[in-house]
Amino acid sequence: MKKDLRRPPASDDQIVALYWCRDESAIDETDRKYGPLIYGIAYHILCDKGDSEECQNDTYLRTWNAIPPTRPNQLQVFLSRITRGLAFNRLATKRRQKRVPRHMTDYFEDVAFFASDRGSVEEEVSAAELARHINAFLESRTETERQIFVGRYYFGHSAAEVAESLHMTTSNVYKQLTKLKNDLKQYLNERGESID
Amino acid sequence: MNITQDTLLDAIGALDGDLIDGYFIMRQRLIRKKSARRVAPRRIIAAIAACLAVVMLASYGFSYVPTEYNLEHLNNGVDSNERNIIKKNIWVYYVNDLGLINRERVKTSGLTNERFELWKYMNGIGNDVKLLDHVTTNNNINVYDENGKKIGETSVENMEYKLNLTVSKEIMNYENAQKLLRCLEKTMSSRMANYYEIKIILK
Repeated sequence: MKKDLRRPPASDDQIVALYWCRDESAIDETDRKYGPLIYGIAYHILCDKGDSEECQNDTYLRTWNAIPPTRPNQLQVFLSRITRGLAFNRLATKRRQKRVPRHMTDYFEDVAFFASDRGSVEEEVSAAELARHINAFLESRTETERQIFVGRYYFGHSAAEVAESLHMTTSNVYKQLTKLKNDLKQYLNERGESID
Repeated sequence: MNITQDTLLDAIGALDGDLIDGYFIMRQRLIRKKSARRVAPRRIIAAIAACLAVVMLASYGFSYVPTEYNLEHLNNGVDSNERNIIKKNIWVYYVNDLGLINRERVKTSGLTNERFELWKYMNGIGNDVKLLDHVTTNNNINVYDENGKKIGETSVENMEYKLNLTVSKEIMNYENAQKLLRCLEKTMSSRMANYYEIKIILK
């Protein structure tokens, strides 16, 4: 369908209201306003046009199924979460087939730094609990550090891209990332006993 | 505690919404800045075209700006055809000590009177030689009214100018007179004054 570029996009509240009314134009409006963003997030993780488009369509379907009953306060964040989750699921399949994009190999190496296999399966911490700890850790950090973390680990941006966004040098971002990783690992280890 | 990679990826995916929103805002600000800096190529082309147009119009306009010399001569009845051929640099031809024809580039208004004076000066000709008359004609078709009175001209495609110069016959008293007249002819036709024919009448 041809997009009417002259018309300003609908507000988030209007789009959510359309979902609640089960009006299918909600998907068009979402695509119009957030289509490039959703595609961008997926493409950044998957580095594949076809996969990213499928991921984008899956995001619309997931959103259609999730609203209602959910009523997201930040539609942009809500959509990005769904897209990211779907993209990582797709990437998991690619990993099994050893078809991971190069920059994501670095990403997984970075993430593996935090992962530990100490303890038994019963002691495995839940994602929600871990997220709570990471959020608490990030709250204690500066705004720049928070953005570096989100850019690198949430969106999977490279250090160079994060550096450009924050008007920093790449080496400085690397330094900050190393410091953040060490501090977070220490933080999680300290909290480890109380996580049971 | 045991953190698997999948758990960690899920946990990062569940980061606080405000953190993610903050990153979005920062990225959007960057994109806006970038697009503000980026100038559309068609704007650059339009700007260059506009500059060229201004330069061309200005140079065309300046060629018609009357100089002090021109004003003086224009008031003395120099016709519009002559004004059209005004240029800044012309070659003035002269006979050198060895009796050979030489030339020198001179910056001038390019009017016939001035060319003549320059030619005189470069050839060491005295005031006994004067430009008595000069008439420029062209091959335009004259338009007449019912009474046979000329009311205008119609331009032809390949316009050809003809110049008739009437010079004092005292020029013939000078050594190399024929060469001097040849120099005069060449000086008159130098640089943009593309006369189809120059006729020198001695009187």
